[in-house]
Order: sequence, then structure tokens, then C-alpha cells
Amino acid sequence: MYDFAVIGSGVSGGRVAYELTAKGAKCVLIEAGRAYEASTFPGNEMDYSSRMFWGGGLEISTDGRLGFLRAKCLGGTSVVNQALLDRFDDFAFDDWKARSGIGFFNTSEMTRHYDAVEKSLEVHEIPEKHYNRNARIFTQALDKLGYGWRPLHRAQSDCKLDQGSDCIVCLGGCPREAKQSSLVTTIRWAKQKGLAVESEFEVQALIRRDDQVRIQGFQNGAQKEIVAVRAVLAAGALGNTSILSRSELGVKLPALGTHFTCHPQFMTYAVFDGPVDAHKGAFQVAKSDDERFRKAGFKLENVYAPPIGTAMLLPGIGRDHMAAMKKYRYMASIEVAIRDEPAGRVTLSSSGKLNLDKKLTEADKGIAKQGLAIVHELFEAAGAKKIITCPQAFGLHLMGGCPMGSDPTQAVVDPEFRVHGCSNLYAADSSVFPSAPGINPSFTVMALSHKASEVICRNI
Amino acid sequence: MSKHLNDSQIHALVKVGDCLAPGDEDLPSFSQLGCVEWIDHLLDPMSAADLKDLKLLLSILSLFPAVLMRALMRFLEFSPSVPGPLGAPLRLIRLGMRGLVMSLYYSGFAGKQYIGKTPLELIGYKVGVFLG
Repeated sequence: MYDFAVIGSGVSGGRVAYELTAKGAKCVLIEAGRAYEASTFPGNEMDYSSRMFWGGGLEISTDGRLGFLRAKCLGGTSVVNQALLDRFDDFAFDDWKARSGIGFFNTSEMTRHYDAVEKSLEVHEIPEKHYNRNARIFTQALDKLGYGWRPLHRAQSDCKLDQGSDCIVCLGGCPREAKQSSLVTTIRWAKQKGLAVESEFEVQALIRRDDQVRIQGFQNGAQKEIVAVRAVLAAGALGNTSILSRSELGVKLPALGTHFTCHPQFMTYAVFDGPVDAHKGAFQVAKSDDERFRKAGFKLENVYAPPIGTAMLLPGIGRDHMAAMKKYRYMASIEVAIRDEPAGRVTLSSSGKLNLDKKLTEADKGIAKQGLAIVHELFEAAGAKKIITCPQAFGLHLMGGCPMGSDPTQAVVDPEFRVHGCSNLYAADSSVFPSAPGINPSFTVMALSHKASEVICRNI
Repeated sequence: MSKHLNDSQIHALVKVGDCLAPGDEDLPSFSQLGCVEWIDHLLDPMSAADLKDLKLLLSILSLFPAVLMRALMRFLEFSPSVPGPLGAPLRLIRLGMRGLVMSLYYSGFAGKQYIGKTPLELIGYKVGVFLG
């Protein structure tokens, strides 16, 4: 029997598994997806989208207006994201504290955990000499119109941009292991200390007693059970919610599935005269840093999408769509990400399928409209020949579903990171977020997981 | 030809593909490219429930003549602004069909009979990572 079973292997699962294993606990890390390595990442966009994400690439809200991207591979989203590390500000933590009644949600108490995590990773900013034209269009337009911006902090080592590396490739996993994903950091370190890893194991349900948790599921089609004294849920907003629901804990947890948020993102493309080549080099380097935007509830990022993603986002069909795609090298893009209201709900249908009831509220729509207006202003200032607003919004930061708080009628996870009423079941990933912070969540998930590991060890 | 879809379902997918990507003076049509030969590659990881829904949809679409199919695909482009209970299924169908067609068409894969550059090459997408 293991001391701990950690379910989910993204930035939370990897961090918790590493911290607990390093303290001498016998741990197993369970992942529904496949264990790829740098040499076995699919590489091709169609292949990695269909094989490394749930839903064959995309999961869709019940109203069909939002598409969600959720990684399914060892290392989770940290393998396929842009490794952005942003600390939360007082604004985000104050909101969490007010909603949850939890005292440690403040910048001074969380600083130690952010620092510890940051110290363990390589963190870089991309120097301006490596900004591609997409980044220059974005930053120069912000400067021109008097809006603030700053370089992104990225968890990466040497990307060899001087040697012609194109970071867009790493959306399907970084083949040179420069990206500091859980796969090449915490999971690798923990395995060296004895962590067991069970990949392609899809957890169906937990059978919990006070002295053990039986984790039941399927591994490569065959039924399997793993037993541990304690379990840490790190399968994210959708994974944790569905596992707890299938474990019939939902009736004891009235807040299960609530407060689902995703920082809905809206892409705008703009066509320029000469090649932009937004897909080349360091393709995401800067974000807006402007108090006016923060107060309004949105941020802007310079980002781009590979061809299939772009083809999905651009409106129209037929020859018009093909004409737009032929301008792929001539387009820039800017993304608006909004701090959405925690009004979404995740449930399971009678057939066990996830229902993602996530509608944009009127307030969300108003914020998106403000952000999109600024993007138009920026592209016009940059001399764009044509501006294309994409009809399809999507969410990459899946948060909530198991909100943290002291009141068990309003929250799923208590201030000690335990699932309410379950002494040996824990969670510290993005599912515990009481609301959307409006800031990239990855670093805070790592910091919360670092803190949770300390709390768990102290309490046992 | 496919272990997941029957001939009429494949035929429906090609018809949808030619509505979304009919080809022009530079780019081949979906059917000319022959990328539908890679459909199993795309569908292998799909869940049984999603695959069942897809097969049902393609079976229904296989009954549509080309003219009606084009009209439907054009109508689906308005689905993002369709309110109420009708909007959701229309948007799901739009996303599902675009997902299949665009994934195959811009994958860089082509059918065995296709001679020429793929759409991925023709739009100028060439990327790499230095592994030294």
C-alpha cells in the first residue's frame, strides 16, 4: 500500500508528488494520458491535438460557445502550455480571501511558496532581440497608445532561439526539454527518489475509508485498483469534479462542480502588408500590464496559433476561408483573456458524460467587448490592412469545481487542503480556486501545491 | 478503407470537406488532397461515445445532396449568433465538422494518389526546433 496516491500529473500533481516523495513518503502518480518523452512527442499538430488532449482535442460547453483545451498526458497541461509564471496580486488574493474566509490567501504568506518553486525552476524572459514581428506589432502599438506591457516570465531553459528554434512546436511538447514542464522537472526528480508512475490509468471512482483510499479505474482497457493511505486529487477542475461525482461524494459536497471558470479567450487576427511570421521564433513573449485593463477585468497577450488552430478560429468557409489561410504568414494576432464570473457548473450526465455548463454572463460579454475594442485600436495603430474577429471563444485555464473555503456548504476543499468531511483526501490544484484570478494560474497552482505538501506532512 | 467509418460516412465527410475547402488556384480541394485517407489516424484516440455521435451525424449528412450540404454549411456559419436551444446543437455540429476537416486538410498529410505540395506547405508553414 502506498502512503499517497496522487491523481493527475500536471503542475500540481507533479509538485505534490515530488515534495512528498522527497520527504520519504511512498507515492504513486496516476495519469490518464500517455507517458510521452521528448523523443516521442507526436510533433504534428493533428496528432498532438487528438492524442494529447481530452475530447480528441477540444471539449465544448453545453451551449457550444466555448471550447476547452485540457491536456491528457504525463505532465498534464505543463507539457503543452507556454510555461508562463505569474504571481497573483493583492486584488486576486483579496477576492479569494473574501469568498473563502481563508487567511493565507495573501501575497506576503504566499511569497515563500512562490520563491521556493521559482528557485527550483529555470525562469527566463525573452530578450527583445528575439521578439518576432508579431511581438513587435503588439508591444509597439501598446507603447504608441500609452498602454503598459511587460515581458512574460517563462519557465524554460535554453530554447536555442539563436539556432532557429520555433517555440510554436512546443505546443505539442518541447522536443529539446527546454520547457520546464512537470514531466522534465518534478516528476523526473521524484522518480529518482522512488516515485511510482502509472500512466494511461483513467480513474473511475474512489472508495474511501478513514484508513485507506481505493482508487479504481481502467488501465489500457483493463480494470485496476490502487490502494493508498491517502489520495491527493490533482486532475484539475474537470477531472477532480468528475472523479468525486462518480465516487458518489457529490451528495455530501453541495458545492461540487460550482465556481467553474476558464478565463475565456478571444482571438483577433490582423493582416499586414509584409510577412509577420508570427509562428517563427519565440512566439509568445509579452503581455499587457496596465492597471486600467486589470480593473476592467481583462488582459492582452501576443500569441498565435498553428495552422489547424487558426483554421478553426478564422470565420467563414470555402474560398474566403482559404484566402484567409493563405495569409497565414502575413497575420498577427492578439488575444483578450477575461476574468470571468464564477458562474459555471460542471456536472455528470446519467451516462457519465461531462456537462460543462459555462455561459458567458452579461458582465463577461461586456468585459470581452472592452478588450476587443482595445485590440482593434492597437491593430489600427499598427497599420493593419484587415482585422478579423474570431467567433469562437475558448478556455485554457480550467478552474474551480472544488472551490476552497471554510464553509462546507459553499466549498469542497477546506483550509487544510482536505476535501470537506474526508480526512485522507486532498486537493491543491486549479479546481480549488474560489474565483478566476485574471492572471495565469500555473505558478499559483505550483505554490499552493507546495504549501499543501507542507500542511499535509505537518498534519500526519 | 476506414476501420471506424463506412463508405457512406466517408463520402459524407468528403462532401463536407469540399464545402469547407473547395480548392482554388493555389490550394487543392479536400477531395483532391485525399487527406481523408488519414481519418483513422485522427479518430483512433476518440472516445466510443463521441465516435458513435459522429457516425450518426455523418450517416444523416450522407443523405444530403451536394447543394443542400453547401447550404447547410453556410447556415452553420451563422450558428455563433443563433440564440436559444437551436443554437447549441448547430454550434456543436459546426465545431465538430470544422474540427475533422481542418485537422485533416492542414495536417500536412495527403492521400497516396496526391501529387504536389500540401496546404500546410503552400501556406508557408515551416517550423523546427534546434536539437543540438
